[in-house]
Amino acid sequence: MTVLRNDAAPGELSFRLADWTVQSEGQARPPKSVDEWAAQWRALGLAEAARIAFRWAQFPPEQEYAVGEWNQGMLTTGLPPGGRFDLIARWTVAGKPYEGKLENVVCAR
Amino acid sequence: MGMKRGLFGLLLACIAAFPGAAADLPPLTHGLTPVAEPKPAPALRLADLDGKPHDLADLRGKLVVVNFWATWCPPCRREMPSLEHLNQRLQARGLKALAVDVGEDADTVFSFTGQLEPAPTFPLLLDRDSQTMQRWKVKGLPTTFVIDPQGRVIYRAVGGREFDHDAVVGQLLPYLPGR
Repeated sequence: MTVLRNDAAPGELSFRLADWTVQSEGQARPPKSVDEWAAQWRALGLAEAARIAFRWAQFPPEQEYAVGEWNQGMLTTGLPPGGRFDLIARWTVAGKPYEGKLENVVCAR
Repeated sequence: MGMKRGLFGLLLACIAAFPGAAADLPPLTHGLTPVAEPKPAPALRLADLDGKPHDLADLRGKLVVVNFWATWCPPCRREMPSLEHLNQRLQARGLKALAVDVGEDADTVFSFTGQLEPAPTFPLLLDRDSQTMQRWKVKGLPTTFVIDPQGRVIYRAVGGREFDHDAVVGQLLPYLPGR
């Protein structure tokens, strides 16, 4: 579960997940996108209700937060259970770029 | 560039790495975001759990709270009782709440809301194919909009709220038709 919120930034916080990086075993890529998931579920013939629930349970692909706004959702790395990775999150506040790194995160087995 | 502490919180809960993190619920917040340039609300015509049609256009003259949600969305579940409290507190003065469930059927919604205390008394509408939510440009759940008596979107709220908090009520009072 990922939670991102704007508690007190001096301006609107915005991000695009496509700008974030999952680093694992020398490889770097963005989190798996909702479009990739949608194509996968459609190919498998998943029911519409299940596809809608899965899509909207994901962390938003992009979003803007005024103070007090937030989301929680699932962020998928595409790594197997037990996979180890660093996550570099990037966002802007009033247009100014920031980034933060969560290191050595381990996926549950 | 660097992490600017205090500006925001980012929690990535991976159970193996942070065993306690998933149990800590993010707090619901207490404010609505004013829309800088209010524009007419998109169309909203949906049926409720009993199949009765509802049209936002018929509520012109009321202050309408439109809440997009789903039963599998944790902050949606947490904020729902506070929306009913708000509805009870202000409906006599012209507030009308509408909750739009995304992608689920009537039985699923009914079985969840029947457990709530207080249970919602406002209409629970079904957006089975999520087309209405996408027309309203919702990017994540829950998202709530406030529509003034002239039919314009004047507030938004992305993420869970305590709708019955005095700060939220204070933002709504000036727009109530029955002040």
